[in-house]
Amino acid sequence: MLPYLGRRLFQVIPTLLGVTVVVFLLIRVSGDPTQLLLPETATPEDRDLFRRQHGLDRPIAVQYAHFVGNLFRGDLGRSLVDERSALDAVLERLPATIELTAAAMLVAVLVGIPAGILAAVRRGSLLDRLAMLGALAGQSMATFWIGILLILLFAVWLRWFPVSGRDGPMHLVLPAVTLSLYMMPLLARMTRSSMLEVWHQDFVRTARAKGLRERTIILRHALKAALIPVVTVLGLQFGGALAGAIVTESVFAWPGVGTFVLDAIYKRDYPVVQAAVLVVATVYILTNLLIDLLYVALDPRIREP
Amino acid sequence: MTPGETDPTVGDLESGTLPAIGRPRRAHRVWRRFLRDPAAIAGALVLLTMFVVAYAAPAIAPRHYDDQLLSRRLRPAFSAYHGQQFVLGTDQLGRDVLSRVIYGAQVSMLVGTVGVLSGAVIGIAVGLIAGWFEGWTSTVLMRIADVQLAFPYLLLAIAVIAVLGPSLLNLVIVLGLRTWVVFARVIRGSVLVTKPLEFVESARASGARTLYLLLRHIMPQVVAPITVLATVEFANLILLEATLSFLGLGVQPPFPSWGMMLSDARGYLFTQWQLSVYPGVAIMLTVLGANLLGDGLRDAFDPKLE
Repeated sequence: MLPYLGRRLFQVIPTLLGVTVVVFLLIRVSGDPTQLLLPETATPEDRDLFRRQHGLDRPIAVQYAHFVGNLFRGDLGRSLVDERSALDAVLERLPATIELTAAAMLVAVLVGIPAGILAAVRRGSLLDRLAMLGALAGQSMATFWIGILLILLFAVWLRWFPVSGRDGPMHLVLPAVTLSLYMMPLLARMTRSSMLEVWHQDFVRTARAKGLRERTIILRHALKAALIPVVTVLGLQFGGALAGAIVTESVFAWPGVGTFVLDAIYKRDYPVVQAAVLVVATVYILTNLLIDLLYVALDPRIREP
Repeated sequence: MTPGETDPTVGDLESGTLPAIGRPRRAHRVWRRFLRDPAAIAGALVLLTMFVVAYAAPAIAPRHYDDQLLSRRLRPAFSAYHGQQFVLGTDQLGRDVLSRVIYGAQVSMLVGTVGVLSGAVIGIAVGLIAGWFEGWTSTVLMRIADVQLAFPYLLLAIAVIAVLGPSLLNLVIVLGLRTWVVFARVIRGSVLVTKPLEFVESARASGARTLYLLLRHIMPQVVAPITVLATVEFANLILLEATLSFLGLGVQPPFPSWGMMLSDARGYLFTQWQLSVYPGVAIMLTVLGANLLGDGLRDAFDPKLE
């Protein structure tokens, strides 16, 4: 286990470095960073001064080293709008996004996996067909549109839930369901096909031959093996969920990183955009690492070299 | 679905184990299987219709997409104004919603097609190279792909467009940026599987040149995964374009795109809710069509059904 963990942690480093390169280059794609970082009214003298102050006149490799150095000190520059530390501002918004994403994943797992199991066990039944039809329809709808439809139905017409904002558990329901519907189709389909795959394997047949109850066979024997690919998909989905959170937050005016980064984009506040991209990418990479470890716990075979 | 079959987005495609169509006879069998699948045909027909609508938009749209008249704003569906019919009503600027939905198809179909084509061309080239020449070329190329996959894609797209500025061209660039990675990984997988096969080895031993080997022997083996992937990615790109347009980072007004129309309609959720429905239905139909076609193609290529 430990060597595997070490190897896996080591693999994360080049990826994280790659992320810093992309974030660093982001401000430089347009050529002159002062165009992005200074207000449009800045004079050429202002721009020269800014360049010298921030080392923008030095070679690009030196600039990158400087950028990474600052990064290790937690310094990602200051917001151009309110002069606050960009990193602090993003981290402040992170809990709301994590709350939304976690709630959505919980709903997706609680509904998607049982739906997939039932569809597999009762293969070809009406339930199976409905579940798979629902999954297909869900995969074909834009997340933000699902959000709009839910608002229309449950907030405007039925008035069960508030339209937007973050103020208590009632506010969490619609955004979390919206985001969960984004993940659920693939989760249900994966669980179903993975379950079908193990359903005809020897160890399941043995369990059945022993006369175990159907329930025990499903939950104790088949599910554990079937869940391995599902867990991987769940990890990959987490990145999608973080991205989906940006849109969902925007639909429901949820005060997380998503609305924050969009706002920063509209205000052309690039240090904040940089910080947000870096934070979200890091969270994503670390989550996938965690999922990999969970994977090892589920499937002992992986531990072997 | 049969047991042993996995989802195309994670299973067979990634490992490149989807069977290939090599000879005409096999292509013929695939085609026959495809024709027996009503869902796939329905999907193909929906997509075809959307392409026709997009192409013929100027001819079939009742009005120009930017024909504004504030005095007829926010009319319900099937309403007439001074003797003119507005089948889906009008929007906040008095523009004909039906015409805007029809013109909106142009953006979606264009972005989907160009995004898939550019991504496929680059991705196939990279995948072939990375799969055939193992070693540092392969490692470097795949590392770049990995780093890109380390980002939640939408976030990367938003950040890049924020810097480049929103426009149709930048939209296509950003979407193509995503697609090439997916193609490259799948193609590389297929090449790695195919390369050690006997017929490739023997062609190599008899002195065939690399380019000839790649085009004559490897390419036919990757036709199946490429075809399936193209439809799946087409669906994804349309959803992504709609999302970016919804966030104001896509095609700029007054030209209509479905995502932008849904964004505009948000302000009228309480009064004119239908405005929030039509463009969403258009997106769903198109994406559903592509998904059904993709599922059908995958089943048709799958020899396990034989």
